[in-house]
Amino acid sequence: MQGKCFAGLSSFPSRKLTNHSSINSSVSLDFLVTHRLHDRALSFYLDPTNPKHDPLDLQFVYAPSAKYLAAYASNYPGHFLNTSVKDQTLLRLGQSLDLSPSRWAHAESPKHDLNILASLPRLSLLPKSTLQGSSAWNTSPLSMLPSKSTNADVLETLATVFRGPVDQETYPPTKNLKDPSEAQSARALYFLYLNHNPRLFEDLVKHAETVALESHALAAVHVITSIAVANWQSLPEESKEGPSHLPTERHLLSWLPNPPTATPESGVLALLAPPSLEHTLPYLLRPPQTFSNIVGGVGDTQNSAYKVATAKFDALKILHGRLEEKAIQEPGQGYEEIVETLRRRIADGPWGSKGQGQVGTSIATMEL
Amino acid sequence: MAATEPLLDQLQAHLEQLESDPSTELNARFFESCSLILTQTIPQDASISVITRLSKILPTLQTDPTPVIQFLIQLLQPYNFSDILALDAGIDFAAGLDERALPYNRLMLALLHKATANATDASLVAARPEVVTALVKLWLCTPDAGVAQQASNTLLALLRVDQQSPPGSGEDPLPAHSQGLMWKRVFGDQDIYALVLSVCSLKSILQLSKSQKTLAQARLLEWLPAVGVLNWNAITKNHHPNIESQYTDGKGEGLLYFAASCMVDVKDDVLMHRCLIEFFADLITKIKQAEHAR
Repeated sequence: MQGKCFAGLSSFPSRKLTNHSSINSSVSLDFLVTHRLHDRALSFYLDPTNPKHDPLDLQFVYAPSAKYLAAYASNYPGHFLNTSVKDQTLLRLGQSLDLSPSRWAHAESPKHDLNILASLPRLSLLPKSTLQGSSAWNTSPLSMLPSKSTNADVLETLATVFRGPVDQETYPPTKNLKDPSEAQSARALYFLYLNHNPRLFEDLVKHAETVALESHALAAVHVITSIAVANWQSLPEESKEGPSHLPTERHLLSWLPNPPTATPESGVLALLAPPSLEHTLPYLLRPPQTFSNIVGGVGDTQNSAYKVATAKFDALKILHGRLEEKAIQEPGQGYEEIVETLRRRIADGPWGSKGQGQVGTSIATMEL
Repeated sequence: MAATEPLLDQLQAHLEQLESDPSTELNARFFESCSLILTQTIPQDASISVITRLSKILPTLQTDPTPVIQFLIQLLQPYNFSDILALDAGIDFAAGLDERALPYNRLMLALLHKATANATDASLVAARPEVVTALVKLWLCTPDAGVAQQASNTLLALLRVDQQSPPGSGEDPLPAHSQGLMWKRVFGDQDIYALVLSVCSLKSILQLSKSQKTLAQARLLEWLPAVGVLNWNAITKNHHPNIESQYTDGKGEGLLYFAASCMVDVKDDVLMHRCLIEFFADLITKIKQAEHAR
């Protein structure tokens, strides 16, 4: 046994993960591509009407296939952008996200498609740089996500896209990212979305204040915090002809409707610019919703009000922190006043200033 | 401390009862309190004598041995793998890992897991082919999901600790004396390699039902990405062409090709097809993250 086992294996090969054919791939992806397993795994999502697929199979395999596509696009963005899978995915998302407002709000959310959308490299969600005019935006699947009649998954998707790349963040923030295209695309996508949905913040605040729909409210607050901490960069001024075809700041302006909103460099400033300014700041400064004015408003409902109130308070603290840094970096820009207002509101605690006539009901709650 | 001595005396008395008449009813609650109290305070010489006596009693018991085994696992906590081999309790690992001896499986896995502490202990396990064979068989064939998971983790941990350091790279220094013996055993041993393939393949004539086969397939699919992270070549190299040719279509090589391309009946088994695609997603994610971390 001993002899049989060790013969011919005197030097067992060591791991060789990094020695793959291209920087965008890996040994595992190469393996699946070579054996055509990659195409097969994707085909159930990308080409569900193919007569080769058994309809019963499709029911079961659709979700894993979408999961595979999401894993592929998020782990291998470079590979994804350079294959035809990118165009097929965008086409497919365009079909599956084309829903009526009532279906968005009330039917089951297309969560697999949204998961894919959130996993795609943000660069692929930008319109092609050859397109002109504000109708170019309609080619992006992100333009199909509604902010009014919506659901929590949609809001979480928006939060993820606007947030920018999380994995290449440094402290203090630096301009020299290894691959700035994701941070640049995140900012461009935010302004494209906002300019074509000027009601975005009005809707977000409305969702955030509808405490009875807890997941909607939390997701709406999450969109606001994601913008506050977003990892953004400006698009380049000059177009560099490269494989990534990154659009320039001029392209971005040409895609926005006339007149465009201001396009500040960072998320904090975007929250302080119209049309966010008139909705977001007043919302964050108001005391949170409670159910204490309703008889019996305790227990579960109070619990949901509590969660939303703490999320909102966290958003307030995050905005304060980011703005304070900004005020120190650029004194004399008028940020100090807002920082002071936010600080005073934070000092009041999550439930806002005392003496609002809510003490009685709070005590009733505490008895439970 | 005060509770130790009366409890120890009671334990000795109960053990004598069991020694004289193995059909005696086990006092499960008593063993439970022993596990909780006695294992914290028992002096070492007493603990060794109790362990030796228990291991002699265990095979003769005619009732469910679970309480004794729980107690024994607790008692063995402070000892490492070589201590346990030195106890001279004559532990029959292979028999204890038989999937039909479910209560004993956990004890054996707990003991084997101690060998994952360093490469020397792992190589002691690797030197016993019958133990590794039994471990692999238990992992793939046991009906108990918890035991399967524990066996899978143990096998993976044995491989990890026995990882050869990559030539020329100074990073993550591995334990001394690592020779990759465990890798050679699992992948280089014809019998074990054939066992994995035959248990998971639908072509083989092994006495397993189809549902048992799919369980084994799912366990293999879950295990492969983690092994691939440790050593990609091990799962993509054809170690035994004569064995692989029986189970694959010959268009690719290695355990990974067998699992990804030939093992699952995608036309007929929808649920396994689902697992297979999830496995692909897991594979590309894990390998990429491992690369990224390096």
